[in-house]
Amino acid sequence: MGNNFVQKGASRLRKAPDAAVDPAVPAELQGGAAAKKAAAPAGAAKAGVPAKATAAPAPAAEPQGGTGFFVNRRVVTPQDFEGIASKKDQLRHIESLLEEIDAGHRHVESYVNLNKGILLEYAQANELHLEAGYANFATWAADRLSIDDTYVFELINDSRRIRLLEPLGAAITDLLIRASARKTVVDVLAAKGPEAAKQLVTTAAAKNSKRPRPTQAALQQTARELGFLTDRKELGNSESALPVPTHAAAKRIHAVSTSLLAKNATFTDADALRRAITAAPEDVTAQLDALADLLAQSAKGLAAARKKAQAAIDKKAADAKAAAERAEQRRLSREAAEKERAAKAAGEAAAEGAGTPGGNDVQVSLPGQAGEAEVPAATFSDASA
Amino acid sequence: MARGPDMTAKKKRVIASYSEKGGVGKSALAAGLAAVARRHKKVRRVLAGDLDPRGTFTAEVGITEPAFTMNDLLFNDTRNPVSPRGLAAEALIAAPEAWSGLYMIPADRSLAHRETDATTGLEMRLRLSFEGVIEEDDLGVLDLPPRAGGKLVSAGLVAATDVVIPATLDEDGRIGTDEAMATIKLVQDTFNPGLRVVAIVPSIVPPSKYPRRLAAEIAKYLADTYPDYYREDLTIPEYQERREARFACLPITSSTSDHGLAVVAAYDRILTASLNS
Ligand SMILES: Nc1ncnc2c1ncn2[C@@H]1O[C@H](COP(=O)(O)OP(=O)(O)O)[C@@H](O)[C@H]1O
Ligand SMILES: [Mg+2]
Repeated sequence: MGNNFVQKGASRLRKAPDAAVDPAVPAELQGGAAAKKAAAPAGAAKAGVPAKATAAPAPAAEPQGGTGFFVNRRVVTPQDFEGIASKKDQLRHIESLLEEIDAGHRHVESYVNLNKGILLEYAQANELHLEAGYANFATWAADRLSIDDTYVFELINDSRRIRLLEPLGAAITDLLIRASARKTVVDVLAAKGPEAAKQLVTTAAAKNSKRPRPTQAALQQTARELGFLTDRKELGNSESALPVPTHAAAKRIHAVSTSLLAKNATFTDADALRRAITAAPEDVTAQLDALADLLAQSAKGLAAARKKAQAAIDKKAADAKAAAERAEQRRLSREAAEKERAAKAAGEAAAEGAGTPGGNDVQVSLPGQAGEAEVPAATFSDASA
Repeated sequence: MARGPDMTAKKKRVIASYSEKGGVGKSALAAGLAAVARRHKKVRRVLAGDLDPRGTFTAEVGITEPAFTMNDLLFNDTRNPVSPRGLAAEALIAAPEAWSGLYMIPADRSLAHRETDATTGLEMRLRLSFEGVIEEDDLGVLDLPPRAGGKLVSAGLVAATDVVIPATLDEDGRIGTDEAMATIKLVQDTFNPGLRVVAIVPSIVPPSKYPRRLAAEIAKYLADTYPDYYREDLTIPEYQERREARFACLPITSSTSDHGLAVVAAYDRILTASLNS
């Protein structure tokens, strides 16, 4: 036993894929190598398959076109703003660079998805995963690409969509750089044909001049307006059934419920969640963990608050009941005393004085009535005898 | 005390140092037990496991940059599952010279990932990984994290045969003990019916002739609440030497001062109590 056991690789034991990730450090602060290491599945090295499919065309490292600012991996420096005097121009410069880098990135992503999808389709059709010793195609593909099994088919589908949309022309496809946006347009393309699909994209793009590339939500909205898609059941828009309260504190609680209701859509939108998980699994996991902790904590606080509130309601009811009982007892003892006085007046002198109205004694058994507890309990039974 | 059927005269023992509060001396106790067990005549090898992502025990032993860690051992690759049986042999690392006789599965911060790992069987992995690795004259020592209801605590308590609970004589010690006892009960009722509590030991107790009132109150509470387990005779005294040993990455047994020896004596008594339980 000892160090000779633990020469890496010679053992059954393997490094955990998250071994290099410190969960206490935000993902963006972790070293790139560590993060990459973490993303690689443990079995990848052992399977003896090159990590990158060699047949793949070299993915474009820069935005297509070759004239942009970021070509050749140029990095922005403070000098880039030196000649630009006015703040307005600086803003314009920044916005255009952001636009370029975002669009470029998205184009690269589409291009990569397109090709990955084609390769995967070919591999699947010819059962090439069997050659790699995998029984399951999706597992093989997921391991090769370090993605989730479920995303493999998403990738193939996106690649198919990119190809389906191609005939619409670059003017249209340039506006569809997100996989989610492509999904909606392909739905319309399939249902209503290419002219409808084009109309959908241009209409949605024209609606928001600040954001010429329409989001999936905007496309869906427009598609509904144009009558291209029938209404789908929407999540997260149901109003809270509770009436809006009047007290400020209760209002705040109501606001929390309403916002939770809306936030819940984040989890119930399975597609969005899967995409997020595929794009940044550590990030999403960390956020979900933090949220789970927060929810657990909140649940505790909520339970305590509800208990307190219920206790207050119970106490109110008990107090009311006790007050009613006290009133009733006072009435009874008044009656008893009156009877007694009447009897006295009639000349029948009582031997022992039940001077204190016996009704008070009931309060001895009630919590919180200590002030009146000096009255001996026995007197009540005397009085009622 | 619950006793499993396999608890015969010769037992494979794995002692867990456990409380649900931090700072009560869990890691110090685990390292202390490991230190004294190395020279115990009945113990051949000490096999230690650090289950705390902070790696206090690991740091005290002076293990840096290990090939494999507790995180690797507990990780379950659902795509290419590896049976955990006997796997500990490959994760155990011989401790540096000063700690000869000790083999350890070290922890690092990545271990915290397992706290939220929902894979089936995580609780059993450490126990199974020791199968065929730990022998009858070996002693296992586990340092548990203070996290209530956590996966790592469960993994530790399932792998352990014996538990020692260090309790500082303050609110942390009391609460940590109460919660630990509740969790132990849960584990005894489910995964590990044979798990035994050896003792609740007063920990990091300043050696004063005039015990402070709070300490006396807590001691009384623990003695009254856990009459079968609370062991004043196993008190671990507070001495600077204990902190110095950790700082120097040396076993406390290498201390030669009276105070150091007093701490060692306490760990010796606790070890003996465990081996005789
Ligand atoms: N017997 C002792 N004498 C003095 N200091 C001690 C003793 N035992 C532990 N300590 C110190 O107390 C602190 C908490 O101990 P530690 O073992 O890390 O607790 P835990 O593992 O429960 O969080 C550490 O700074 C440690 O050095
Ligand atoms: Mg510790």
